[in-house]
Amino acid sequence: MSTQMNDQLLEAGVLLAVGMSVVFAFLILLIGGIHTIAWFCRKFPSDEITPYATQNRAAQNINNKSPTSVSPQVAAAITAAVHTHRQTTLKS
Amino acid sequence: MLWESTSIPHFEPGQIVMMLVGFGLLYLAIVRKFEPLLLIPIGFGALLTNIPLAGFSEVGGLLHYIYYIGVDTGVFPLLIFMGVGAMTDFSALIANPRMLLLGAAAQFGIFATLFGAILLNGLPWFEFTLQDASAIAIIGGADGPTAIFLASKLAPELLGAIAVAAYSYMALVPIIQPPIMKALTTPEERKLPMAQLRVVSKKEKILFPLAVLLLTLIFLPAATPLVGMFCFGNLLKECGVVDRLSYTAQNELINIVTIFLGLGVGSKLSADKFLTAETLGILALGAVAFSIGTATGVLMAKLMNKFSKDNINPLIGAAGVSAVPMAARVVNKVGLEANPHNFLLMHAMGPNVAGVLGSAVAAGILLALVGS
Repeated sequence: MSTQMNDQLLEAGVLLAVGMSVVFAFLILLIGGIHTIAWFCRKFPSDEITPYATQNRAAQNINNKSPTSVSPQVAAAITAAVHTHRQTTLKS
Repeated sequence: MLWESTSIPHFEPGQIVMMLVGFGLLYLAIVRKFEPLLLIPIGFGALLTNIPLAGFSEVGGLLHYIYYIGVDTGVFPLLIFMGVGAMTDFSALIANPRMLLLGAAAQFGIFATLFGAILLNGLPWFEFTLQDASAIAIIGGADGPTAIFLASKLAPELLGAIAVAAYSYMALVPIIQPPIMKALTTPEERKLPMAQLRVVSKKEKILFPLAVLLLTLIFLPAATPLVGMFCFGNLLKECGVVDRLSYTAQNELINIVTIFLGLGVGSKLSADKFLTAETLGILALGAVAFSIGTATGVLMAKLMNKFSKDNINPLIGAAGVSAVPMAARVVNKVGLEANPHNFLLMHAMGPNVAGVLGSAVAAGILLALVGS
């Protein structure tokens, strides 16, 4: 084996050691970062009000019904969806 | 005179062989459905560049400009990375951040392959420098844009062969990985169910790309071109206020760039650069890198399963080698073969996207240590 190849193999060994250490160190730091983000989000939860939730609340306020009640439009939509689903599964 | 203006008297044997290689790539893409989005432009680029007298890849030719504007500068792979970022959902990784360790372990294939490339220099037909070896080894990251980006910086003369090898092995994931996964796991391990992942809030998803960018710019600035564009694309997707830009990044823009990137890579498939012993070496080393990465991912998952209080199915370690989402699908398939009620797809997406980050970080390290 030539001296040049020995030198290259040594360099590759250094690259392997440094490279894997840095990859692991970086990604372990990132694990810490993700845990910190999760902690931050638990500590300061945002009011994530989706348009659906807003509409639902508005509907509840107007109708003043119990939270479990479903509006006729929603019930009709669910019925139509179930009907279509059953038809397609029967076909297939 | 008329005869001289046709291609027939000007064809060289090498050009004919390379055109057959181009047709071969088109066959694999169209008939076998192997990475068609990239292999069709690459295959067609190979046909165009080998046409005698047309001068597609000479100064003044279309492919020459496409290559020098987008591939040589590294711009196209980075734009692709932005689009990939805009298409990636990190929920599975944020819900279970330990999966990053699997993405890290699978990068071992890259660094181990450096030795293989240097040992090949013992044979009379090979003369790889450390830069060449690094550009070849990144094939083990199973990430096309990363491989092209690094090759364009470290070994532009090998770019064609490296890109073809990278995309071929990504297409061959369902064939290469399962035997390695089965050889390293017991049937009981393959059956292990995993706990359901928690729901991730929108705020976490927005903060994640910013945190990745912050860590990269502090500790690994050499990786910021790749990681930065990836994070930018992901932020476009997750912030929810620029749907138009997000849509463009993951549809029109990535499609346009894919066409040009493929043609640019195809233009490098000329006989003098591709029909060499080095290409065979690159293909062999790519397979080695990919196999070692798969094996170390699975072994790391086995180790984590030993020390974890929750089950970790060792199969998901194989998804650490990027190749999104093919590797995760393969994990799911092999898992279902062992236990028909065990759906591992979402669990495998964690290490899968971790692998994208891991290979970009590995590319940054190689660029910082071997480049210039």
